[in-house]
Amino acid sequence: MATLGLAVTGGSAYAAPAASTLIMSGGNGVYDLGPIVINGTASAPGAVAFTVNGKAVVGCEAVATTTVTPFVAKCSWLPSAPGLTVITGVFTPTDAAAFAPANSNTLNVKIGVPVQGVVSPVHIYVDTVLASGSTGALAPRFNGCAIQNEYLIGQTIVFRVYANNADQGGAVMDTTNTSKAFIEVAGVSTPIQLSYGNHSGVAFWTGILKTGAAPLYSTLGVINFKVTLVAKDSTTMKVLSTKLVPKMENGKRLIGSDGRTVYERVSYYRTVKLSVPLKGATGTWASNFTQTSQLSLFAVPVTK
Amino acid sequence: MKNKLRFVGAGAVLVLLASFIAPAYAADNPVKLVAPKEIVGIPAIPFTGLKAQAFTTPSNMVNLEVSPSQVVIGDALTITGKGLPGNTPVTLTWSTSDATWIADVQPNTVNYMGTSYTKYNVVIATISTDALGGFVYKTKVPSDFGGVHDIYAVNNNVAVAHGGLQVARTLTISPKSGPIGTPITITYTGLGPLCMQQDQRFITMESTQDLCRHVGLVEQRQQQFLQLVPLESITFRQMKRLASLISMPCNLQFHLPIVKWVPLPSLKMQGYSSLT
Repeated sequence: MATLGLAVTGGSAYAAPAASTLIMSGGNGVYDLGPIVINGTASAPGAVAFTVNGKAVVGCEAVATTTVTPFVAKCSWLPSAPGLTVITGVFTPTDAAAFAPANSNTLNVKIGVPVQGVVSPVHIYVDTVLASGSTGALAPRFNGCAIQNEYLIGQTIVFRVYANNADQGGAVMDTTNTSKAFIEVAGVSTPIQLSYGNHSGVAFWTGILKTGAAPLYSTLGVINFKVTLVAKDSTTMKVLSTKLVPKMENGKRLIGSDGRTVYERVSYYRTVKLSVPLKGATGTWASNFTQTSQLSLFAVPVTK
Repeated sequence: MKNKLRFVGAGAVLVLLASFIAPAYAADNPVKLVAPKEIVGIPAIPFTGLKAQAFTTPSNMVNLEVSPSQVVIGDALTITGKGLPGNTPVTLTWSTSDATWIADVQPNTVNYMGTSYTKYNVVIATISTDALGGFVYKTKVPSDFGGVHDIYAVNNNVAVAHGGLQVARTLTISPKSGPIGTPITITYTGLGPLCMQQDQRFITMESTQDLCRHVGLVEQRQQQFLQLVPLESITFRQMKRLASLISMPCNLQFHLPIVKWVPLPSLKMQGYSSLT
């Protein structure tokens, strides 16, 4: 009997459960834009417990994988905050005798936030182009108006800015309705004043940052800047309203089955006169694109 | 034999990688590859190795004076701050990147889909400004990617000053002479994500090809100077890719045997040096 017992023990040890794997993927999305799916792909059928930032995801404590390869378990997760998020999981095989449990890799994702994060009646759009006139190594590779975010010391950066003011029904912000327009650049003491003008047939605000040896801007790396536009005070404003208008079909009023004109509701801006002037709205814009997409300054490499 | 061993080693790595990425095939494509932990020789995260806490970068920051502004790895470096709040602790940070390769994993192949770099800041040191709001911090350029690196002085998660420098590349070959069969080592440092973009745009070298160009120069002169065996019959791009898969390096080393007598005049070596 003793011999038999030893034989059974030895057989059991030899058939130890095979190692399993669990790979986490997906999980990438935008904050406040609905659920995001996380995938857990295991090497065998079983269940996956999903965790985010060390906490179990409610409803995803034991999600069954598919029963055929690839053995994928999916977890629908609603982020509670934007930014860096750590996703992990634990796999529990269905056949515990044949397969061992496994911890997943660590999946780091960045839950996105909108670029237009500043809420203001003034909506600002900004890009940067290379000023014309550069030659040699500093000359534009394609043409001077290509939008780009990497510049060399010695080049002149042109900020192109255009904006609309929702207080005035989305009116274009120009010199008639704008009191201030400037760009603050970190390391530059005086804000760059924007000027509004015609550029080959289209009008927008521009400001320039000359780079080069001091006293010009020469700080290598990211150029941190903020654009500000301030609307003029106004005694009128446009208010978004709705009204009913006859529905037209082939240029004629549409008549319903009851013999009456069919109406539909449309939006429009209604001009309102204000006894107390409306203070001009202030809009600001600073880039929150990823670090590698920020406006940056390089130097022409030198031989050392 | 060495070649065989190297080939086997590379093969093992690829098998390791394949085993790592294979399960993700049907779940989520493309995938970002992660260097296996078992691989040695991965450069350490620079300075303290600690990732800096997130901080804001207001437009009223002052400039940090970084001298020199163009460096190579190992150079002495001085960071000077002025006009900051007096007697205030500031954390100096250094921008670096995590690098990986994006792969489209198919049942019978893996398609290379480019690189992915995630930029972040690590802590250089925490220091205190003097009574006049200034400081001087001396250090050395760490082994890291090439290109531009941002340096911030941060207080209470708000950057109060910003500066930057540019890490240039180096290419060294050693030994400078030797008998037939002497292994030579080409060491190339300062590769980097931003450096790559910069080179594509601003200088004649294109980073994924420039070592090929160097080797090409060697090959053009091989009758006169030396004959290099082909890079294991793979291109530099492939070599770099493989090396990055292995270690995500900012420095890259090639070991090539000399198979022909090499006079290796110093002039020639200087010529290479000028290509850094």
